[in-house]
Amino acid sequence: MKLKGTLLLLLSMLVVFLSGCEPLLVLDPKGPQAERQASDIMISIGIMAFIVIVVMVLLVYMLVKYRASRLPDDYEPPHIEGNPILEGILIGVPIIIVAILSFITVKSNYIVESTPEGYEDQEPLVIYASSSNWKWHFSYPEQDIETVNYLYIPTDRPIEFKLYSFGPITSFWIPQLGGQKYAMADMVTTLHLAADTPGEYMGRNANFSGKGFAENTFTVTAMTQTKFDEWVDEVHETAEPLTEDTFEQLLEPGHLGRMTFTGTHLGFSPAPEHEHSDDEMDSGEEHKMHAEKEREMHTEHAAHE
Amino acid sequence: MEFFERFAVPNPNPAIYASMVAIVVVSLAIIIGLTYFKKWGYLWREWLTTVDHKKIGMMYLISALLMLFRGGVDALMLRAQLSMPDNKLLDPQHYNEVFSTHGIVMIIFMAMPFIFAFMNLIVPLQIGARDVAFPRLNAISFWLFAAGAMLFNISFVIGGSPDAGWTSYFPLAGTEFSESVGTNYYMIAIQISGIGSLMTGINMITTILKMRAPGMTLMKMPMFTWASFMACVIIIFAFPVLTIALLMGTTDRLFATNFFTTTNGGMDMLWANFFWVWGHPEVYILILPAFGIYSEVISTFSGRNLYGYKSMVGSMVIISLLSFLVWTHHFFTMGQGALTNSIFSISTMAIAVPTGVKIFNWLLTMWKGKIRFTVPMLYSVGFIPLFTIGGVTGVMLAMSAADYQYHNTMFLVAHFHNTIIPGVVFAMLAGLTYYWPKMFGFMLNERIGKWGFWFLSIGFVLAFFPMYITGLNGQARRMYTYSEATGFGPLNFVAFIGAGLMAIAFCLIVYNIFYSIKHSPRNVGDDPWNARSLEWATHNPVPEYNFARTPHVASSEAFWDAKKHGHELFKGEIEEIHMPNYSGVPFIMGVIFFICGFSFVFSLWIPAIVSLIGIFACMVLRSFEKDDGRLISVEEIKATESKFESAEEIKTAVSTYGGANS
Amino acid sequence: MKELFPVKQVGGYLFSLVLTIVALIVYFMDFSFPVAMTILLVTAFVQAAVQLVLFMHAGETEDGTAIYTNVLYGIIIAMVTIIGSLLIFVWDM
Ligand code: HEM
Ligand SMILES: [Cu+2]
Repeated sequence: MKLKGTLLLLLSMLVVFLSGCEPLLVLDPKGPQAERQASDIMISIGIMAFIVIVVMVLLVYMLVKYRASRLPDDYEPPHIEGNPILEGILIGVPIIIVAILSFITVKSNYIVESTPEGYEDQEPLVIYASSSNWKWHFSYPEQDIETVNYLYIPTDRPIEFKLYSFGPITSFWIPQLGGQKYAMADMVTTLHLAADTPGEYMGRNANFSGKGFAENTFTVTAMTQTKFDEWVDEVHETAEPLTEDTFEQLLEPGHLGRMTFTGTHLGFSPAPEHEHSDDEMDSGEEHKMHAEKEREMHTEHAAHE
Repeated sequence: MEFFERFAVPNPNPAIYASMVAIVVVSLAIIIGLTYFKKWGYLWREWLTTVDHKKIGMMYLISALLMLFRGGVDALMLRAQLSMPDNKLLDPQHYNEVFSTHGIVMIIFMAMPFIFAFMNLIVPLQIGARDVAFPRLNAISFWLFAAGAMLFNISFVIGGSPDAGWTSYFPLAGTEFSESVGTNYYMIAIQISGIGSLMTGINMITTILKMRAPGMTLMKMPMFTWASFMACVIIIFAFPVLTIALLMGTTDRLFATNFFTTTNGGMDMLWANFFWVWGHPEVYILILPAFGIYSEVISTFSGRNLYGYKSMVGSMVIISLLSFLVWTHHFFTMGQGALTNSIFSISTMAIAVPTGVKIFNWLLTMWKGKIRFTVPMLYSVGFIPLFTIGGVTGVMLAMSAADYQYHNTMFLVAHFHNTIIPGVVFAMLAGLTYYWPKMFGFMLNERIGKWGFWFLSIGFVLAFFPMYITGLNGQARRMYTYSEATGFGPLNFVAFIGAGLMAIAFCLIVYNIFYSIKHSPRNVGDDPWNARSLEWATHNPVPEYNFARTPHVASSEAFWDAKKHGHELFKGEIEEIHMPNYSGVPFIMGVIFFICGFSFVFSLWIPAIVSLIGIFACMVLRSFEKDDGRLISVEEIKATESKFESAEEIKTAVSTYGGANS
Repeated sequence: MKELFPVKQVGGYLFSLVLTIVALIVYFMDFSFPVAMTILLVTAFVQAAVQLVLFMHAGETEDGTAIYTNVLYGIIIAMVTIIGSLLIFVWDM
């Protein structure tokens, strides 16, 4: 019947979903933040599945036991007002469940909003990720490099993304490394991520931003620190400097492939003023100063100087 | 010629041209038909000028069904486009227009009129009133809704549809990134119908507070009335926010103000904030009346009083308050700190508690009952497990850290369809079937109705459950296409099949209406479902004055008391009944609002100003008009009543509908 | 005689004049911004309450409770919305 059908379907879907012939991106984390989120998701799926099953069992019980065709013709259902104790339990149990989930969530909130756990003692790598219709620009002030539509990051190092947009609100999302955050035109937001394992990951804008939204993606390549350093050196040897004119052209609406430049656009086209404060405001300031110094060291490549 | 260029569609395609032709043909056919059958006078006298809450309710109902089809066709196009990787059915611009239109039509122009239909039809009957508190205002509400809906629906053939999503986030919806008039339509059409909704809210609250039958204290009101009451409380506090936000958005677009721009001191996040300060309460405006309908249906077909009446009322009052405390959960990822997200995360999860109480109370209403599986009951029984899934996924979304992963993905899309379809749409279809005899005096066919239910439920599961999985696999919402490598293909194809089944279900439901008009037996009597609450204590279809004599009430199940416990509902003699006069002004105001809105959309200032003056003139006129209403004489009432009574006798003791086929 | 003379209304009228004058003083005096704003807000809300209670006759009919409940509900929701928005955009951004 209907209920058994739904129940079976649900269970089978749950099985596919949990065992998953190929793991779903969000449930296949490659970094500490995504791992925390995936574990929250699994815990909540478990608790929620329990609730759904309880409701279904009760429903099936009522429908089977009290269907009119099973009852004598002269059966008159009683008048029942309600029972304070029973209703108390029905309120109490959900409250306990919500309390447990709240506890987990609050903890996770502070975790995802700060430097990933286990990486606190390391200096985070700051990357400015800005979107324009319909591209992503990644500026590495420390390395004095800018890329378009692809991102190279070292593994085992915390990364602090500074997000903003040259157009509509977008959302910076690398499912396997962690959840998303908005990039907006009038302020900078911060997203803390880190990658544990080298590999290629999908990244995209998740927030609808017009015609080219579907293709507003980028690839993330996580590699060891040595490989990353090699890449940085290579870019400095081979890439062209980013000039203000070139950057203006890049901002034109449309799609671009991968591009690599030395220097960043932060000098001539700085990030918006309003910086969102994080829990460690001072360390944020420090990074910026640090980045400034680094940038000065690479003046020969920086087009704006 | 240059003047007319602005009306051209910026991104035409053959389907749009075909629709233009179809619209012209259908309009001509309607005009010719009305003239040929000499129905203009009838249309004007009985419908366009009516202030009768029942007729207004029916007009809302017809509009909602029409809009359901408009939105449904949009949905089919969306699912068809996504059914295969790299599909080329729609280009990105059209895909964007279609999903924006789909969302707005479904929420503002389908779900809202649907709940207003039942509020209008049922609330006055449930409280034993003759009409709503302000009948003419009620007509104005309807015509404003109709004007807004018409305005919105012509956008795709005149000037272009909105394409920034139903949320219309700035700066994407600003003039810089959205140059066509589409978003003007969004701002102004929603504004006009929103004013109508606000007035309905005020009207219903006044009706419920002031016009209850003798003996009906607040805690003796039937549950649907309580639910409507709470929904209207939310309306009057939430809609003003939308009104102002839309006004600011309109001036940003038309007069270059800088409320939501990203430069000159504007703040794009403020739009998102305002939108959801209205938007979250809005989803509860939709679901509460639906809860009300389920309460009536489940109690009737379980043959039992509603379990835990007090906690049912209490949970709705709490929901109405909490619904204002959670809006930030729609933008957990906007960059505010962990503290804010924690607060709103907890308040959001808290809503699940009163919602859970309601679910368990419905289950306990079936306990020790005698359950009859009629079509309305099937929808309610399907609602309980499916909506529970929607609710628990809501709780999952409410965990803000995890929401960073769900937000903007198909998982979210699955959640809200999972609450809105089994929640609101099932309730409306249950209500449609349940109250059909109340409106028209005959039943909808049960067999076709059941087929419809099965197609809809199975279609729903197939269409939306796969989205939970693709969402977790990284499929963002609102993408017009995806590549084969993503692996989203098979599940999206399943979803397309589900959407097809749902389309069949809706066709069956409409077919059922035509079939039943033709074949259903008339004279089903006044109590075809063996129902319990006061709206069933009058005749089917309801005479214009609702109750010949004012009912006296002693519990929330007055009609049941009268049937089973000898409660005397109607005391005393029939007296003259005072009724409000019909008026053409509401319809005319609706037309003027439409013209005004259209002029604003295209910045045609002279007609805009003239029609604004016209609107105020109508209001001034009204305040000088002397209208004492009219009286229905005792003879007339007696004549009407005796017609119903003889019909009742013909019917002879046919056993209650649905008793046999459970 | 006592019933005929509207003591409450006349008193209320005088009181609202006083409130207006206090608010006017702010314009002529040189208060700091927070002080000036506090005075203006307080007098404005008291003024609104006086109007509502004395001149719009809230609470004099059987709907008194409904009206006050409504006003209270409105105030709570307005406060929550404002504080929430400030929390999002100012205090915790
Ligand atoms: C247990 C109760 C519920 C909870 C805890 C809940 C929670 C949530 C959360 C947290 C979101 C935002 C997710 C995100 O954007 O990432 C959301 C979105 C949404 N919910 Fe619910 N919800 C509940 C019930 C409902 C009901 C009853 C309805 C409608 C009748 C509904 C309709 C929606 C809609 C329309 C959206 C998203 C709109 C959009 O972004 O376009 N929800 N819900
Ligand atoms: Cu919400």
